[in-house]
Amino acid sequence: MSSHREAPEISKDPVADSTDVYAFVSPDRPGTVTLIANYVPLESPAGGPNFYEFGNDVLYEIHIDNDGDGRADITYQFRFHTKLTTPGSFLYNTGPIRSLDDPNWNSKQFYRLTRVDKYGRHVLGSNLPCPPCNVGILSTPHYEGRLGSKAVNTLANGVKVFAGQRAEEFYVDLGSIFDLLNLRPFQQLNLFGKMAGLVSQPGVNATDRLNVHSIAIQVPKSQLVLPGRPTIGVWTTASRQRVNIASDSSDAGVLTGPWAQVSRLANPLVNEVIIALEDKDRWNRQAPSNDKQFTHYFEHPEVSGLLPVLYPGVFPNLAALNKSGKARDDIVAILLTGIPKGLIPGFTNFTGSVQADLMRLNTSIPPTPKGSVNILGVVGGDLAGFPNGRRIVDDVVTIELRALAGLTFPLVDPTYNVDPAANVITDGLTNKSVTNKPLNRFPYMGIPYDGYNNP
Amino acid sequence: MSGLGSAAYAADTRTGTQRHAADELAADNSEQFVVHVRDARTGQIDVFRGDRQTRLYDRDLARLLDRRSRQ
Repeated sequence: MSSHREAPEISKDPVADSTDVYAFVSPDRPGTVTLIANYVPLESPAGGPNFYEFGNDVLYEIHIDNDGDGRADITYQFRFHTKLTTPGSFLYNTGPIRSLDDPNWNSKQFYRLTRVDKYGRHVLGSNLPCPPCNVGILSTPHYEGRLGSKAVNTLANGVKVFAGQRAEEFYVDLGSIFDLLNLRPFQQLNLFGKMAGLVSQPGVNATDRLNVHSIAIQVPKSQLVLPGRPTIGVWTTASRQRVNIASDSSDAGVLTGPWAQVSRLANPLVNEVIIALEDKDRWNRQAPSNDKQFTHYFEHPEVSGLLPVLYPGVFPNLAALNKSGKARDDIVAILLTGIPKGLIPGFTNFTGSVQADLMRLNTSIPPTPKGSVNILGVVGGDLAGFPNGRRIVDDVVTIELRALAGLTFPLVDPTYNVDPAANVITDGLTNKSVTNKPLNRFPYMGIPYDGYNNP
Repeated sequence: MSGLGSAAYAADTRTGTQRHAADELAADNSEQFVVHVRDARTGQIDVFRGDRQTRLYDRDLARLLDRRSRQ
């Protein structure tokens, strides 16, 4: 998955597990940038009676590096707390929830938003309401109109913020990818698929009809970028306090000490498929500015080595490239430094020589009109898409599969002949594979699937 | 605990940060905090309080806690 359950430790801590980061110039407010960090992977919509919520003991952060050193210059912090309306009931709701302050909603969650920058800490909002989970047709009728949209908070200085359940918009054929990279459309060419007599089939979206919890903030560009430096680097982290003394029958327990980062995410699939198992937990604890220690994983990605083995004869030029031992400087550029000027006409999101996994968004590139969006982003000729930030619809699985298959190596070596298969490899999904589509307005993530119709 | 007095004295003879921590302890002793003796031989102790972590070196306190925790 993009970053769902991507490392051993964080896979056991879902509320702190970041799943996706999106960063794009807002299509309906192009003077602003929208940043979204999703958490709590693979939420089953019917998961009651204790429906999903953010961790009240987790510090969620969205960071922005605006000077290219891989360190946060601006951070938006989110801290949550839960209030019970009817503590004597076991129920999430004791009747239909018709508004965010409906007394029928027992377990309400609120948050405080703080901006941290060189001028200090600024609380932008307190006791901001989250919407409830989309329980079902009786409990949460007219969900988006009465609840979801009402949880969009407009703050001072043109900032909008939302935190709560949303439809999972990331699409991926998990069942095939982690079954020996058996991409269904090409499984007849897979080493083991061929032996099993499999034939080409469409992809299956394993994350469809599931929910996540989104933290979304929309900020005027002028509050994020430095003059003359339109490209920002974005990432999210989740942290827990270092000391946790568990409660027992006579003691409420203690949470104390400084915050320790347990999860981080910028570009999709980095910790998931680039970083090796032995380093995944450590990677989650590091700051992006320390990523140089992981460069070898980007220079020699394991997936690039596996493709010619699992698809014999399909990627001969990639096999030769792997054998040459040449570093994949294209992957390093795309994921760790940004793409320097001059490689792609009219485009750069280069932030400097510091190697750091950041989602780099050149905010000077205007959003592509909806009808002209290419979900393959920059490799599809659409400069407003991944890896120039990431829009919700972008097909990051296919983009990264093709890049790892060698499609982007000519950026750094124009003599390289791309294997024809690198232009078509895919897990067989597109944004049309998602049932609940993204919204046209903030927070853009789609209406969460309800538990009644998605048991 | 009689040992606390000597611990506070020991902290007073050390850095300003440690003195500050001891002053806060005296000012508000109702707040919970956690003491982690990392190495009783060297007296290396971490005190976790609120969102802060303070590192102290106090062999007497570390040995006292070590001894008491084994009883």
